[in-house]
Amino acid sequence: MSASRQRCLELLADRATGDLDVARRLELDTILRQHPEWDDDAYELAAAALDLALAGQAPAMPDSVRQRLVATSRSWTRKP
Amino acid sequence: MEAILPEPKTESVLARIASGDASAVQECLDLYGNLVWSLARRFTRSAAEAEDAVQEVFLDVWKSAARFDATRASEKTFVAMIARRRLIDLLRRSEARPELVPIPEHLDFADDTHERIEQTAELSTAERALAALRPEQRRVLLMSVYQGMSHGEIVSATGIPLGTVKSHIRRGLAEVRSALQDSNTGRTTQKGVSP
Repeated sequence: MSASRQRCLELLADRATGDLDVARRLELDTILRQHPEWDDDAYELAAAALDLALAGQAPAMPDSVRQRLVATSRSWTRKP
Repeated sequence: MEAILPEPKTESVLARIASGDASAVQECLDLYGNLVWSLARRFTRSAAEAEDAVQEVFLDVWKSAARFDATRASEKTFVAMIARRRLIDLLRRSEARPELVPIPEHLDFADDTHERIEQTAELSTAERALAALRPEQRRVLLMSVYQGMSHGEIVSATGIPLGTVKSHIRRGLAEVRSALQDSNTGRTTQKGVSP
């Protein structure tokens, strides 16, 4: 594996946990511009799967929140 | 005269949203509303913040629906990924972090007799990969992924050097990622879909 690919994987893992500062975000952007095929959300999917595996029963979303979301969804689906 | 019944909807909700089916947008709320609310409560300080956050998350989910690929992850995991991305971004930008949610007690990997939450194969694979990590590596990964702590916060809380924290998280995530990819490859091959 090339050093550039290795570095890209490190930065993608940092991105998955929200730990990219501005300098490293720019570094990742630069690498991905050169290698767009390396852009991969597999680390973020791994973090999400872990999070779901650890979480217990989800509490019910309050009805008021749901009603607001329904209104948002109606205006979103009406957009051309 | 024979009644014409509507065809059952077998397509995923996200695929239907991507194709412009307005009814799927509300179905998405029914399926994933509680999940997103639960994540938002964990990553925000108050119900009011969580309420605003779930609005942003669902807009992201609907806009990203076309990117969902069932050969890579379940729809639930994809929705959780979009939610986490937005919520962690909000968390890092906020001036004060919410109270830390304790890591679930059932994660005592030395004791296999505890009750397990009913899980899909995908989530069980993730949990097995987590269980196979060394204790310190697992602890650091849980603080990062489940509690949403930044690398710096983990250093302060544990005294572990920053380079080691980063290394534990990266390697831990790589192990989980690899186990999920192996599992997905097996699943799609069994179904006759090319990996």
